[in-house]
Amino acid sequence: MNAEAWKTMWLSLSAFLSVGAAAWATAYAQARIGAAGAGAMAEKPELAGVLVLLIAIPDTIVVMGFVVGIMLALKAAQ
Amino acid sequence: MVEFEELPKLGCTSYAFFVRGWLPQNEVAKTRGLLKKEVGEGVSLTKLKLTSKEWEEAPVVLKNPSWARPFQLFFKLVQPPKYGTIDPTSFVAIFFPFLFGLIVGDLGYGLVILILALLIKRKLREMVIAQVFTSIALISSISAMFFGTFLFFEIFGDLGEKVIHVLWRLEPPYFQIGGFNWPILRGDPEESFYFLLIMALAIGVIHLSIGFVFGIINNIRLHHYRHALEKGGFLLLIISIIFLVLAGWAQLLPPVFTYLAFTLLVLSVGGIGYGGGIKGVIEIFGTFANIVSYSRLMALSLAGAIMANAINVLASDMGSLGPVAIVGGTLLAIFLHAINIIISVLSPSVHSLRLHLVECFSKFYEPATVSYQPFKKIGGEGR
Repeated sequence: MNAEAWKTMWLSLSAFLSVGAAAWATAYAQARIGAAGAGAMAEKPELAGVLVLLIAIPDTIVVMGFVVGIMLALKAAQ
Repeated sequence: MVEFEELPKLGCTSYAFFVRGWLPQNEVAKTRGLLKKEVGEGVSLTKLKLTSKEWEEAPVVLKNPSWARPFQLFFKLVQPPKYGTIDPTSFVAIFFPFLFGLIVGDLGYGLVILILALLIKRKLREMVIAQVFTSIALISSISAMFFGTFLFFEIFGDLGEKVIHVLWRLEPPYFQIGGFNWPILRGDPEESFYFLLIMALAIGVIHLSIGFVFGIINNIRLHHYRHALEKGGFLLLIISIIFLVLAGWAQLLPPVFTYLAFTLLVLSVGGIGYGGGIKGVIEIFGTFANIVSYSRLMALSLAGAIMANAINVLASDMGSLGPVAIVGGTLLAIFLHAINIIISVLSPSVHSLRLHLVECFSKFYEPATVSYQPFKKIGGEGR
């Protein structure tokens, strides 16, 4: 393999990792929050609105991962 | 009986009694007239001045123009704003559909949401909550159609573009005057990516700046002058960063502005440090994270568009197999687009909501501790 192909391969791999790892982290956080929130909602149903927001908070991780990932993917496609 | 629970709050002697409670400012005259009519001259209604402790726990009634009223639904999620502070309903009413439309950004999807909202609005005329939801969906879908037409030119993904290509052999941009293209975003994916990213961050800067301006006004109204100084410092910080980016990095302004920006930067950090202490200085990093968080606008609109395009590719590949498969491909496309539309209603509204409540509201918002529940007859024949 020449240097160009190596570069493309590593860039694609990094793009995959940045989106994949971030998505996994978000899923983990949201699962924990969701489970705790469902428990809280059983006690206090009026917390439902706050809960939606709490679940939305870890989304930032995967959004950042996506931004970095697409930057790398665009570089790999060049 | 709830009515009796209020009894200990009232006072009475053998000749007189008094009732003390909260009343919206603009209903005082009406109530006074009613009391005179129903009970007679023996009753008088006096307005009391608020002490600073009462100011803290005053219940709040929101008053908004009719176009912003559906968005009061947001205060089902968080407590309404504290008495005397800014009511952000109109602000939300402008920015929520704006952000929603930017994320959805598809003429076809917007149209479907619009039609569904109108149908539900007609069907469930008695349900108040459905009316409120559909009003929000109506405004938001119009915004989505606007961005879908002028910014992205998406009609069910790239379906519209392909149809125009087949029918009239036209390629985007369809329209060009000087530097202006219609649609604005077509062609080089890398260029559109960076355009969208910078636009999302710019919207974030504007959104947060408005939040900080509200923060200054709120803190001055509540006589928290040090906090007002802190918010002012943050506003100055954002302005100085804009100057730094424009003059130092993009080199759109003469280099003199770099020095000006640095002066502003030092001043603003001083202001934040004086106003907010060490907590304020730490908050600077939080503010940066907040601005970067607005890149989700770009990420979500891109992800939605890619999803729609993938559906079209899937269906057209299936359709190319034979005449029977064309029907199957069409059905598949309709089914998958329907799923994508449901996702495009849920996820953009949650994220648009989150950008308001988590990112922007934390800059100025102070929730009330008590909500206003008028004393009234509950149940019984009077209902």
